[in-house]
Amino acid sequence: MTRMALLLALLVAPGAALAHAATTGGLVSGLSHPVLGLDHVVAMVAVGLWGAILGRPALWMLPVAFPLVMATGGVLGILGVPLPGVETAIALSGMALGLLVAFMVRLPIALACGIVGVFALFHGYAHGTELPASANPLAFATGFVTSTGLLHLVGVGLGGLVRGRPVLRMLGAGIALTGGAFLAGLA
Amino acid sequence: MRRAAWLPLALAAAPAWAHDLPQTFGKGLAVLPGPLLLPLLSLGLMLAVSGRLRLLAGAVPAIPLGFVAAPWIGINADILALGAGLACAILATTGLPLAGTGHGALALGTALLAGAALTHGAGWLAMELSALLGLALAGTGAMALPPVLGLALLARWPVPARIGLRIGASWLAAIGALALSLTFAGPLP
Repeated sequence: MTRMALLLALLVAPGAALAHAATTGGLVSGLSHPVLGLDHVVAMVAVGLWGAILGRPALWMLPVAFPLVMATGGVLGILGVPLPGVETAIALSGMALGLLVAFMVRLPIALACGIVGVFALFHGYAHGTELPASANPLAFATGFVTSTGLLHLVGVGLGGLVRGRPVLRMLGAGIALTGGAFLAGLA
Repeated sequence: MRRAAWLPLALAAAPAWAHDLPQTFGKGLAVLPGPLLLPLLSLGLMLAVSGRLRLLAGAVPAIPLGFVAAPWIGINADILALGAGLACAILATTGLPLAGTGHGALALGTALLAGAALTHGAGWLAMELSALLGLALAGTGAMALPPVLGLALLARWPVPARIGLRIGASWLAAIGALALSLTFAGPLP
């Protein structure tokens, strides 16, 4: 168990440093971009987990709303429209969504979509600013949208598989702590 | 008068693109550009989600019609096709109904613009007939893939498949919006 945890930490640690470095690739870089950035991963999985907690229609509406608004953020990034506090908002997204999962907060679907959408805008902006510099921007965009969507589905799947509220709460708390560590500059 | 001056300019742009165009059946079939796959896949998904598969029969001949109309649409056909595809993907995601013949008009328009964009606005005269056949076949295949897959999945797992198609449409809409802005910003040709 300890070995597994150590292996996971070793796999994830280099990603945190690389996540927002200049990107030069195509589809593979796009696919790996959200996965290698722990701040992105926890937020995406939290969206799926929260959707699973809220049930239908949030179960599919949150994973649908996120990429749509994320693309809007990406467009702003590509066009060079300034957006302040991007990294802070991304770290905050992990913490906030983690807390929503940990406390199993039930909100109206429109409000839940709104919260997820605000964070999606910042995640998309971070990806969008790196898009024009990549070797194959369209392949990179396809990769990161697909990867983001798959991470949501991982969250939804985890939410469906995990039996018992305490485990879900612990997962949420772990996500919130990770987001908090990024927010405090510890990660 | 000023409008008339644009026509030769749009037509003159064609020879500059001509050397990039596929000239054989195999190349026509294989070189369907990534940005133009998006509107065709989005169109197919919209028809699958809205359950209006019979509109596919009208959209298929609209692709070769786009080859003919390309010189009048010009080199901005790709931007227009991406925009129409984005509308299709958003409709597929939201499941919003369109009044009257809205879905049909959008399907025909998207297929026609994609057809024009496949020749880079140069039109059918700039390409060999075999290459045009290859392009038309590839475009039809891309357009028909989501409905064929969607029908098979919907028949077996109606609820999860419908959700899956809408999630897939949201991904296509996101990629389409990014492709459109990349085209405007410059990185995409």
